[in-house]
Formats: sequence, C-alpha cells, structure tokens
Amino acid sequence: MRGRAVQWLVMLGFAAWSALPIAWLFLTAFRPRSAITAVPPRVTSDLTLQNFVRLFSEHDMERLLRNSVATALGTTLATLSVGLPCAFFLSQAKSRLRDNVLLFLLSTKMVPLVAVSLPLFVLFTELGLRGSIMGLVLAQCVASLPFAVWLLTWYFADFPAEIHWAAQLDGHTRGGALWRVVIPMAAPGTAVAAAFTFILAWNDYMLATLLTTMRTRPLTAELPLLVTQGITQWGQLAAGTVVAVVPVALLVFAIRGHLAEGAVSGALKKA
Amino acid sequence: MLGAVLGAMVLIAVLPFALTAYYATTDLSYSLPGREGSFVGMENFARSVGDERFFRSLLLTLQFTAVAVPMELALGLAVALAVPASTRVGRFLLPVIGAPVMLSGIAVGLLWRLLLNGDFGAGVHILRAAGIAESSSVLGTPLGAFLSIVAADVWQWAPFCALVLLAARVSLPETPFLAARLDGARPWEIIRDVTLPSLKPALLVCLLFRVTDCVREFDKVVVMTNGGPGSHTELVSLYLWNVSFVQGDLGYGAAVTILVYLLVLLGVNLVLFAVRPGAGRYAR
Repeated sequence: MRGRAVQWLVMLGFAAWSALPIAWLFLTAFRPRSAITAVPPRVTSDLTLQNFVRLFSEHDMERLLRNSVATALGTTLATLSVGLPCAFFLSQAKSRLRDNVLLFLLSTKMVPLVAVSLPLFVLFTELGLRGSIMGLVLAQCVASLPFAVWLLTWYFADFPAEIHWAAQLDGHTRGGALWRVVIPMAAPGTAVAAAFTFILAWNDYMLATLLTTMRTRPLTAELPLLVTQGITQWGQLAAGTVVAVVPVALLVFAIRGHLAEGAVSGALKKA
Repeated sequence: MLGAVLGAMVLIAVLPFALTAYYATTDLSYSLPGREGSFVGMENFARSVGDERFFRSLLLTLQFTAVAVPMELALGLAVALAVPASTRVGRFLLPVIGAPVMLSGIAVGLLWRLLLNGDFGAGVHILRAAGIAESSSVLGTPLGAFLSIVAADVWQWAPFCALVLLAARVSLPETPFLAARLDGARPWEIIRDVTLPSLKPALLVCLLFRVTDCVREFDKVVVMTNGGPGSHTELVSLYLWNVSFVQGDLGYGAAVTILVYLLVLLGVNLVLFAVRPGAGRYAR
C-alpha cells in the first residue's frame, strides 16, 4: 500500500512540476498589469482580456500569425513531399547502407543551428531571397529534412517487405504500390512526422529571425522583441506566448495516440 | 532510383556544412569595413586558437550539459519507475507531465524570465522565502543566471526523459521480472538487477538526445539572459551567433562553427564507441 502512495505522490508531483509554470503563464496572460507586478505575488481573481486586445491592436498579430501559418504549413508540405519518397526508398535499401545514412542524417542534427543558418544567410543574401516567406520555407525545409527522413525511414522499415510485392502482384506498378497501398498504411507515422515538422517550423527562432524582414516575420521570432529595455508589457508578452502555444498544443493533442507508437519505438529501435 | 534519392538526400544534408567550410576560409562580412570575402586560407582557424571567449563558451556548455542532463535522466527515471501508466488517471496525467516538451525554446525562456523577474517574479519570491536567493535579481548574478538556465532546461526536458523511459519500461518483457520474484528478490533488487539493465538502451537514447540538444541550446538562453550577465551564460551556440551575426564576422564565425562540428562528431563517436553493446570485455 505504501508503494502505491509513493507512486501517486511522484506522479502528481511531476504533473504539478510541469503544469504550474505553464498555468502561471496562462494566468499572467489574463491579468491586468497591476496584478502581474504585485509584490508579493498572489493569485487574484481579476481576470481580463485587455492583454489580448492590446496585443492584437498594437502588434499586427494577423500578419504575424499569417506568416507563422504560411511558413509552418509550407515547410511541412515541402519536407514531406521530398522526405516521403526519400524515406520510402531508403527503407528498402540494404540495412548496412541504410543505417549509415541514417546515422549521418542524425549527426547533422547534433551541431548548433548556426552551422545551417550561417550558409543559408549568406546564400540568401547573395541571391536576394532574404525577407521572403518562400525563402524561409526553403531554409526550414533544409533544416528539417534530415530528421523527417530519419523518422519516416524507421517507420517504413517496420513494414513487411512483402507489402510492396503483394501490391504489385495485385496489378499496381511500383509507383502505384506506393500511392495506393503503402501510403495509406503509413498515414499514422506520416501524421507524426508532419506534426513534428510543423511544430519545429512554428517554434523556430533562429532561421525566422535571420531570414525575414518585419513584413514577413513569424510570431515566434517577434515575441522576444516585446521584452524591451524600458517597461516590458508582461501581460501582452504572456498573451502572445499563449497565442503561440495554443496551435502546437492542439496539434499534439490531435496526434497523441500515434505519438506513443510512432516516435518512441523508432528511437528505441535505433539503440 | 535509390542512388539518385540517396544522393539528393546526402547533398541536402551536406551542403550547408560544405558551404560553411568554404566561408571559413574567407574573411566574409557584410558589416565590417574593408571585408570583401577574399580567401584567407587557415587564418580564421589559427585565430581561434587564442580565442578565450570561444574556449570559455565551450567550457560553459560542458558545465551546462554536465549539470542539466544527469538531473533530467534521474528525474525521468524516477517518474518512469514510479508511474503506473496503465490506470486511467495515469493516462490523463501523462500528457500533463509531458506538456513542457512541446513549448518552443522562446516560450520556455519567456516563461522563466517572467518567473524570475527580480521585482515581481513568483519564482524569485519562492526562492527568497526559502532563503536561497538574497540579491534582488537572480538572473543578474553569474551563478544565478547559470543555475536558472539549467533549471529551465531540466524543467522542460526531464518530462521528455520520463516519457521515453516510461514507454521503454512498459514494453519490457514480463519473464525476467516473474523469474526474479520467484527467486525471492526484493523490489529494490529487482529494480537494480532487472529493470535498470533492461532500460539501458532507452537511457542511452535519452542521453544522446539530451547531450546533443544541450550543445545546440540557443533559444531559451537568448531570451532568458542573452548570454549575460556579461558573457557568463554565453553558451557555444550563443557565441557562434554573436560572432557571426551580431559582430557580423561571418568568415570567422564559420571557422569556429566547423571546429565545434568536428568536436561534436568526435565526442559522439567516442561515447558511442565506449557504450556500444559489443564493446568491452564482458560483451556477450
């Protein structure tokens, strides 16, 4: 009995650990400045929407959100269209070659992002691509392809090889087998890869800051600018962060069932 | 077909590094006067040898990783061993526990900056009440700032380790546990001799992911301290950013980036070699 109590204590404790700071952030987003800056801090019940109202009126949130959505969606589509075929073919390769390529792809994710953002910054400046959403999509695609291919290859590799042949026996061509049989089977893993790519692109800061101008900047890159040397509007900052977090939370909620099987087992099999 | 696809894949992955290596041999800069981007050979690399700020950033990153990652693994392990994942409430709590993982580095940094605000931050208030923090600004002291970024990292990523280790634990085969219990082993002996060894692959995965992520840590540190006070929390990523884009010295920044890349490759290979299942005298 005492064991069970300890189990629950640990679990609830950890849930509180994760949830309380986030709850505080949400609370701050809905409080007036007087409540936020009160010393000592206390939980009051005067909630307000004025932070959100001011945020949307003073900071052109529509443009920021539009940029974020366009960039994240574009990156996801581009990454998947290139990554899916790559992963499909890679999963069929001999395991020695495949493992080496996968390891190489993973290693590109192990260095500071400057290794990718610096050359892209220079290249884009030379080509005049800085400040365009298309350019940012391209850059984020380059940054997220290795991981997406890695994830999808593991997922495809789990399929029995016979599937490809069985589909072709049924009269499909090689490409037809891909389209009509394998891809529907791959839907869950693809959904996870798509969600990950979207979230990473949405949350990206470095590339978004480097390669955009005020007109094309996504939300995540704009948020830190709200912290000023003078008086920081903490309420608006919290509200902005909440707005940035909600789409990601919804996406994760949508794929929560697939997450357990897809991403984790892939990572574990690698070890 | 496979060859073409593989080739394209490798090209896309390699291209940024190849370009960076090229720029590292130039004095490229868009903001510093007199810089044309002309070839300077290994000059940038030679310059890095005497760069104290670079070495300090490497040391800071090492310290950051060495303090944060073990805590994340330990906490993650504690949760994985303690949580009964199969109950209904357990399954409800798991997404709550894992919530910090999906936040952007920016969001986490802003959240912690809010908590640790010297004037009204709830976190600072608690620290002062516990007698830990004396000065009015936690983020303003070198040690305070360092511990704060560690705390933020542990807060965000211990849940990740917990989820991965829990998933691994839940999928372990029953037989060894049954056998151990039949042999009369006590709970902590079971944990020590059956659970932990079986979790070794998952622990390794966590370790690898977290260590490489700590090396790349950028977003939340930029927002929380921007490398400050001074450069006391200037991790390697921030140093590379500052050199390349704040100072605008792209050629030198590229060179230092290549050096970091080589260091990381070396480190990862060493670790993988040391803990590979086939290595060592007692390998099966």
